[in-house]
Amino acid sequence: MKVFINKLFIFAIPIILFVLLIIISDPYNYFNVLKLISDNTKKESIGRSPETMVLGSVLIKTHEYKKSPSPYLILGDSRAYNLNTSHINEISGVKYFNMGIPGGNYRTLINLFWFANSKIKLKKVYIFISFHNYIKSWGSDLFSEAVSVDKTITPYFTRPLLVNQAFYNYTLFIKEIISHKRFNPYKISKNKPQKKVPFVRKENKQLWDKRINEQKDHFVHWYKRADDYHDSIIKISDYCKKNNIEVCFIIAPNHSDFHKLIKEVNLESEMLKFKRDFCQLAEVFDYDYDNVYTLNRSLFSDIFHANDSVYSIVCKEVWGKNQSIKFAIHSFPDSLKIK
Amino acid sequence: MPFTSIHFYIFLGLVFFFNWFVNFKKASLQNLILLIAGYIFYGFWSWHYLLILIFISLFNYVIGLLLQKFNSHFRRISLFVLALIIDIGSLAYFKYYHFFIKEFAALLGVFGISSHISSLSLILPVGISFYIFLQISYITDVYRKKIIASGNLKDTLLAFSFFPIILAGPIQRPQLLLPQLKTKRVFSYSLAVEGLRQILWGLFMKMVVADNLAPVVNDAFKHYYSSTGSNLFIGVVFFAIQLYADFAGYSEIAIGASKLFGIHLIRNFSYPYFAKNIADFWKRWHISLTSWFRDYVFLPIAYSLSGKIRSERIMFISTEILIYIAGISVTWLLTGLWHGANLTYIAWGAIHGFFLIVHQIVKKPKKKLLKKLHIKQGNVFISIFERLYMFCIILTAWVFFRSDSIALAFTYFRKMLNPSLFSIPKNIPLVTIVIVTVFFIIEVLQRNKQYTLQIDYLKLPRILRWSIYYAILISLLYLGGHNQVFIYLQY
Repeated sequence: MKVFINKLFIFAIPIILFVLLIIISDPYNYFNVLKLISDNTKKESIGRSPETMVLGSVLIKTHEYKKSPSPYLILGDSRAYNLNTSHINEISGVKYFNMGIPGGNYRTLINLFWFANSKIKLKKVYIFISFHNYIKSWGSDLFSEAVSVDKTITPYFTRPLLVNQAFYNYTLFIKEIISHKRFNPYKISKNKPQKKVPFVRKENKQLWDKRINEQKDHFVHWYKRADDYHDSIIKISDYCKKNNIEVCFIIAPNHSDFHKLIKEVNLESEMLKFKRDFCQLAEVFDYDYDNVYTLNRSLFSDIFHANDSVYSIVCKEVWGKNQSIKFAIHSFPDSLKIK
Repeated sequence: MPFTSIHFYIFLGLVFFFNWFVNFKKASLQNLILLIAGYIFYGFWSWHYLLILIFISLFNYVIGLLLQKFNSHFRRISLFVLALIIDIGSLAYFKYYHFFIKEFAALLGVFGISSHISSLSLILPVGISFYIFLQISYITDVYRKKIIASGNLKDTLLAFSFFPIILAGPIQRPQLLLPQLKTKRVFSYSLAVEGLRQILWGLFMKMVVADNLAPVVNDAFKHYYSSTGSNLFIGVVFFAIQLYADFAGYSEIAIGASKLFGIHLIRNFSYPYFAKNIADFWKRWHISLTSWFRDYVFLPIAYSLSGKIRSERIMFISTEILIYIAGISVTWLLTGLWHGANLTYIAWGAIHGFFLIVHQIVKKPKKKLLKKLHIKQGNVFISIFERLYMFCIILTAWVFFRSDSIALAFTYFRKMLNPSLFSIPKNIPLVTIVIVTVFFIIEVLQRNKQYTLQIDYLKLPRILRWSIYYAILISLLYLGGHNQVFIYLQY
């Protein structure tokens, strides 16, 4: 028996080391045992591909929010994720928590709202919305996936995507040491301001066309008015009204090719209905129409993702104090009249 | 707590610790720990159905004692019949009630009678087919006076609910299991190592082989209408491998886990796809169930008929063959039904039964013919032909087994057997082909061993042996497919 236990222990040493390395790397700030790898490195590591970014963002952001919840919240998809939150904080004078998730669909967004609400009394919530996801039951529930990962813990050690993340962090960490970027205990404990890792980096003709074709198929095959999500958003809106939580929807700018596509698939009236649905619920900033910015292809990396210069205007208009609104179609629920 | 979850291995480690370190001095305490572990393990699936397990186990324990006590034939047979009614009745209630009500209503419909029979949608208690069969064999053996009824409640309940086998077998024989529980078990290093190796290989079979093939199989059986013949052929071949890797993997883990507690279980699979013919296949596939049906259904029918029929031939057919046909027909009807309440399983059983009968009928003439033609029994070409023939039968039967209905199975064949059968299959992930190839090579190399990871004979240095184990562990992590439930848990 003694021999068996000893050999089993020796055999298990690499496994124990493997587990320890994952706990120390802690790619999603779940274990919080040792802060060897900075949050910036972790975020940079998560941002290396769309696959790692989708679930990784939900995990890291929900853990971050659990640790330091904020009553000021931004929800949405990759467009919200790409926002420069420190710039928003600066111009608004309030510290926002950006819960934007690349690939974040309505199901995820709705769950994230209730999650955030369960952690703190919310004061103001900005929600980035988009018509291309507004399809009945569309999208997998990233939030529930993240919750199930946290519940069982084992995926942190057994799911290749999450395990690779832990070891990729070490690669970045070693690279930083070699390039003398760090190895400063002060830097280890104090993070630099977050380095932005855009969801889509460069304009790419192929990607552009691919997105258009994918979107066309997507609408043709799957479009069905999202009554389920609409009901859930009404619930959120009613809850916010009752609890004095300010809600504001931002319809993110899409390139005019997207608008052409909507015409092509005969969904113009549906898109209008979608906008009206939200206008009846809360304040809306609508950027998704043909204008000088959305007609300019050089300002977009693909049909859905405008570059930082467009979003800096969006940020100023939405969060800037006493800022005149020129780009957005701004509306309030009590009057659908465009301001 | 499935065998592929980390929770199971934490549980297994804890039970191992308590079994060997806390109460290792007394066999009865070892059994108590294993009994509690069995109930906790089963309770994790459903506490409600644990009550059914306990009730049926207690009932059979009492019946066993009464059978032992009474000498009167009438009393003994009454008790035996009562036990069968309760055991088979509870199995039938949970497993077949819905099926028979549905089929009965359909039959009434044929005669133009509309029926409004309410059918309960019952959830099948996990493992019920396995533990009921184990308990029936206990009662039957006590009734036949093959074994003495166990007077020890704890040992008997443990035999009926030993946690590695409670969910999906292998279905044990009380005469093999009970004596092992009566004596104090001493830790055996080599047995424990064997156990760990079997667990590791079982996990590889399930997580790497079966779970990676599952999406291809599911796709073929779901989208058979738009798939090419070659894709459908790959679909059914992969299903054959998936089912084997899934169930044999499960059995390896169960046998391996038992060995950690010093308990030997009967083997459930013995490289079935390397069988020479259909009869040989059934000596190698799900051995515990096949031998159960052989001992408790086929042989009693055969003995009883041979005792009653005196003439050597009936209608020019040998009585021996007729008895075989009767025995096989009933056995395979029940084997099909055991798998589930669906006509597809009955069709699957009928195909196997039919080809077993054909095999039995042509066995002697074939031998004579080969002798006349001066062809040796082990001729390579004959051997390859026989194996291909057997594989075709098995694949045909698996299509029925996997399809949702008989009509869908026929449509699957219609779609598969057309000119597109000879086209190049599309969308088959390269990784699955690599996995199947590696798995096949390992199986070929190890086909004469008791278990696949039996590598002692290679006399490899420890570092190499351990490298193999680590390689398998890494493959579980990086090649493990999307986790699927063990297929046989539904039976």
